[in-house]
Amino acid sequence: MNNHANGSKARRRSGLVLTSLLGLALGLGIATAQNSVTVAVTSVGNTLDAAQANFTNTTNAVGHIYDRIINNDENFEFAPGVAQSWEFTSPTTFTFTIGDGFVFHNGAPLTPDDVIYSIERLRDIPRIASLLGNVASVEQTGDNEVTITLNEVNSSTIRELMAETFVFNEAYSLDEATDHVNEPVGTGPFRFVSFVPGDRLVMEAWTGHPGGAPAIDRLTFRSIEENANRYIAVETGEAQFAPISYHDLERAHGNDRIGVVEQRTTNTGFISMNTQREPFDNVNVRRAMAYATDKEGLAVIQGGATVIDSMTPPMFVTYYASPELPGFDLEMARQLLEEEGYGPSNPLAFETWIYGGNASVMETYQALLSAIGVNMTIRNLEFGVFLEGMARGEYQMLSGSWNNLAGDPLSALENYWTGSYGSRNISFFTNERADELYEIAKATVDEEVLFEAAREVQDLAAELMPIIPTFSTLAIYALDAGLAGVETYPSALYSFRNAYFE
Amino acid sequence: MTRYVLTRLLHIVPVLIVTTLLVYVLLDRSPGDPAQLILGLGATQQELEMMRDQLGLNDPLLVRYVNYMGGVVTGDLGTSYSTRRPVAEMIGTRLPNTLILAFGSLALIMLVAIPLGIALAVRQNSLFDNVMRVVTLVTAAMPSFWLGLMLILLFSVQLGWLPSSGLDNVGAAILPLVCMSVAGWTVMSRLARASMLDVTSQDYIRTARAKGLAQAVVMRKHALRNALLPVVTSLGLLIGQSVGGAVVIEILFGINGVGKMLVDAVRQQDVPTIMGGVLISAVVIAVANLLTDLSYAVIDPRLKTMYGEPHS
Repeated sequence: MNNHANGSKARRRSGLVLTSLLGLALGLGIATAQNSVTVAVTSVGNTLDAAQANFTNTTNAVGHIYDRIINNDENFEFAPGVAQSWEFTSPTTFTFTIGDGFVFHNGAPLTPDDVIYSIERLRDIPRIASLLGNVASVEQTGDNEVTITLNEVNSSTIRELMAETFVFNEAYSLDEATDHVNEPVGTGPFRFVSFVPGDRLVMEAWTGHPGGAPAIDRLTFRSIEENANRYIAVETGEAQFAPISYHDLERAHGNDRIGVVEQRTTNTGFISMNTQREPFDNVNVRRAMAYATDKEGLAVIQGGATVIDSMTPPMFVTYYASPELPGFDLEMARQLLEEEGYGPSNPLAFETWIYGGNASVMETYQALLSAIGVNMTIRNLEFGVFLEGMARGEYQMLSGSWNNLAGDPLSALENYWTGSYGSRNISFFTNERADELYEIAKATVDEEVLFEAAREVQDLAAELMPIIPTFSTLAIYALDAGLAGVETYPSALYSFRNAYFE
Repeated sequence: MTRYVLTRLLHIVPVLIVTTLLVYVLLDRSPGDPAQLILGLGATQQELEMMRDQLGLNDPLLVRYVNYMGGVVTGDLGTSYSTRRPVAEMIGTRLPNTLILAFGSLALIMLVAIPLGIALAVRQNSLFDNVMRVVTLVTAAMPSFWLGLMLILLFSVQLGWLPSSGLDNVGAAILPLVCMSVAGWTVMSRLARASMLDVTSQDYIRTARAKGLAQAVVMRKHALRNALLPVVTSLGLLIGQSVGGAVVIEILFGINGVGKMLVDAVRQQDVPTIMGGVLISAVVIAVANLLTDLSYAVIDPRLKTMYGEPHS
């Protein structure tokens, strides 16, 4: 009996040991090296050429390998990149001086030719080609000095160009024996280790950076598309940083091993009305829609969003909230519709387009409108169909949002500019004064002139209401509570250049 | 046998031509402009025109298809519209993961479901049979997405035993493979059980028992091989489902696979990438079905004669 009991205990012990060993062996997959940071993102993409990819995650990842000529700070003010000083020497010439000590990860020193090549190569990339259309020349004008000459004055060209340009090594990029795109060589604080397209990018600290080596030894960006699992990766320690969904925010706040950053962004949500089609060719109907928009309610339904009062993000120099902008007032909306002949016997009826996941927001809006007798039907379209129909002006109303990585103040004004019909001006709004003001804003590098023009455009827009600004979504990040120094920006970019573990 | 295999392999060629042509035409006819999708909201007409030109979208459909197939014959699957990278390279980095998921889950299904189905047939209407009926019904009703999240919460978050994402090591493969296999366990064990019960009710089984053979011998020598034929047929079909159906598991567990690549490509109307994915899936499914057919000969030697094997 005793022997049997001992045998059972021994078996239980060996079972426990086996289970523990199994757990330990399997658990090894979770362990992460000290001083390493893994960033879980929806996707790292298939190419490391940020200009081709047009994908914020790619820009975020390769922004650690490459330096920019000039960076943006958290207020979209210029900050040093490889250029240490810069100035507009005339409204069409921009000159900057490259700092000393920048060396590519392959040992080649940074030269003005590399900088010139990095700008010129963008001419072949369709997404940026029209921007480069305004660049007449990029030339070396001193030992470390480069001058960009524009064809015409445009207050946004340089800003956009600086946001798009990563500094490439010309010789390495032109060497056909190298895969310079997916085995990048830059001057940034981290150097390339490995890349598995669609899966992960691994980098290590570069000791040769003039700003000193980063405190983080190894930085990995890896794809976890599913929102809940991306957050879980931070909880289990498989990742130390991840952009997360609003739905995981409460859980993250409740975990003392996880820190949370809620970053205001340039995201600008809107309801656009096609001013060339009935019923929104009527300004009073458009204003009625604006009065019927309960932005607070819509932002709550969206989650992780803040109400906005302008199509210009608040961190831009041209931000201005017009007092003319209609506030939420259902009675005023009903009254305006009655003035235009809409009522119980002749209800206003139209269709609105959405794509992806914003159905709940527009369903809320639909309910609000039905309270004043308006019949809005919702069509949820595949994104490609949505884009094509939108560009052709086939819609009556749609909802969407803009993002701006460069802090370009002109882009917000393009919502009202005839020259941007079907691309930025998706409400097909036409107004001579708005066009004049856009040209004034475009042709100046004086911030006061720019602001005054932008202010008047926004007053006009608030009165004529082609597009209703609704809310801006926050960028929410979960991170290891011990990780400090991560810099996050309103452009939805972030940097581990100065990150460290406490 | 060799001739049969070669003939079957040749049959794959017209299947691939018809499949690719059909998909190519359907993609071309579907609404949405790939150039607009790549450039997104706010693209100017000049940018759109330049992009269409670079992608070769201004050529007639037939020219594009013939050019594409010409490349395929030489092993060039084209260049992705959205990433400007070779599609063969994109598939090459992902196919191993998808095959691990598809064939790993298939192996798990075979290892668990077939013995379970046989055991249930042998113990028909026992407590074990009744309990397993309920268990398999419950597991069949669980969406793999939800089950995956529950497994992650238990084994990754609560117990900390297994990684919640990736496919970097054996430990990381356990949850996705289990998740992919559960539905298969249910279906295949029920199928194996039913097939086994059908076979054991045949006269030749009764005869074998009447001869005084032991139950184990009757089952192993006379019942099992015959009962396996419908199970193997279903396993062949399951491979096709696994290659296509891995996408949910790939997305949930952050696994870089062909299914996820295809979904991304469809979202962007990235025709070369979609075509590459379809081509590879079609080849895998065709080869898997061929292997299934060949396995019949192993299970039932009488079928070898159908493949031209000389009579002994």
